Amino acid sequence: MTASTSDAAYRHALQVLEDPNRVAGQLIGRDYLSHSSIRTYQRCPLQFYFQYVAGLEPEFKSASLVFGGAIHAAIEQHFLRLLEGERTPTLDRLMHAFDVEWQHSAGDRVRYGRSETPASLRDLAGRMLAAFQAHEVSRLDSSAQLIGIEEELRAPIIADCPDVLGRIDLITATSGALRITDFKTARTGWHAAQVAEAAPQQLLYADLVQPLADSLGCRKIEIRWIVITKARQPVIEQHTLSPEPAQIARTRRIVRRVWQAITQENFYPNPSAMNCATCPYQQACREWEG
Amino acid sequence: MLKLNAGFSRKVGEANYGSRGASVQVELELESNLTSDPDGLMGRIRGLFDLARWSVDAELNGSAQPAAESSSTSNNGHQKVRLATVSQLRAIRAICRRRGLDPDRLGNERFGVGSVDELTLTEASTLIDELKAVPAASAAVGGNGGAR
Repeated sequence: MTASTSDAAYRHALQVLEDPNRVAGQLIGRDYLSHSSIRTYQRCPLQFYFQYVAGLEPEFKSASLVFGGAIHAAIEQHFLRLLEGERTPTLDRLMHAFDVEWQHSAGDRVRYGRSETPASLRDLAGRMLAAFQAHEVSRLDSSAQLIGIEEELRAPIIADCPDVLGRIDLITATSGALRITDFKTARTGWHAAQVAEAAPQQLLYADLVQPLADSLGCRKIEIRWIVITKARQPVIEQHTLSPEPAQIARTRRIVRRVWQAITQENFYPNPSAMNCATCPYQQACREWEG
Repeated sequence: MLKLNAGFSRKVGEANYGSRGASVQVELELESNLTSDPDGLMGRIRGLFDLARWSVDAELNGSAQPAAESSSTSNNGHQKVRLATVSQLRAIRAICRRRGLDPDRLGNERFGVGSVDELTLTEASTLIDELKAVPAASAAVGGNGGAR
């Protein structure tokens, strides 16, 4: 942050020739880029700085983030059992996975929303997971192969950028297509705007799974979002996208621009009523002198 | 403003008394207050020469090509054989554990690999299907040596 423009220019000059993974390791302490880090930079470059460059501990964890992670752990448990040829796990077993993940991630700095308590969120999780189990999305088509669950893939998919690392919720293959599925929890159902906002991450992941598709002879990659609403009576929605090469190429170019901005140390606050309210670096931001 | 200019050139011999050479000049502008920081300035100069040397060597070694947009194929254009995913390997091990089987031995008998970690995506998928199809009590998959 205190680096001069020349330092940034020098780093950028090195980056042109140097291994981007090494540059990333020096700058952000990890030799890859995740979509979540890219998204953080796009939302607020200063938040990115606090989290990835300065390595500050977040001042709190949002309960909805921890909740989403615990729901993911339960769904992961469900599909792992299917992949291993076991019977469909009971709701109690899924709730056990939810509880374990909650205890592991929550810690003592969880910030709850209005009318949220650990008990109310656990009740909600039970309803959401029951709705998931009852829905066809929890079952596998007999012709589908389960290839990966919470599968971590990493590859140098963007020129002049560090490797991209992605954790893909579910990868399945049918005779002609490889499908990547992203599970989401949301207050309400999704509209086109939410799909458009979520698309870049999955477009990058589509790039990451291309070698898998090639290896399995799948000519097509499909992106699917499964949204489970956080409601008294949760609803399961499915949204799909068949990515076009131009969309993937555009996403790569955007990531490259973000990476260039990061290496040039373009860190500045991006105040927004919506983002600042949930930012876990509010105090650090107030104390930042510019 | 301070200007640093570093150059580097190298020539390498080739067959039949031939040679190939490359040279580069790199210029960088720095804040003039670096003159009061000799160590910092020397570091920048060293870095600039490293950069010049690296780029010449990369050029001569043919490794200065820009990264490909996508790396789904190998250099010769053929598709790479993709190894099994972590989830598949975990599933194979879990099923084998429940059935008292040795996954590495099974992988060797069925596909001729030294360890299940060497299975391809499709081999792992086949093995999982086979393991799941056999009832636990009579788990004797892979005893007759399939081929890759």
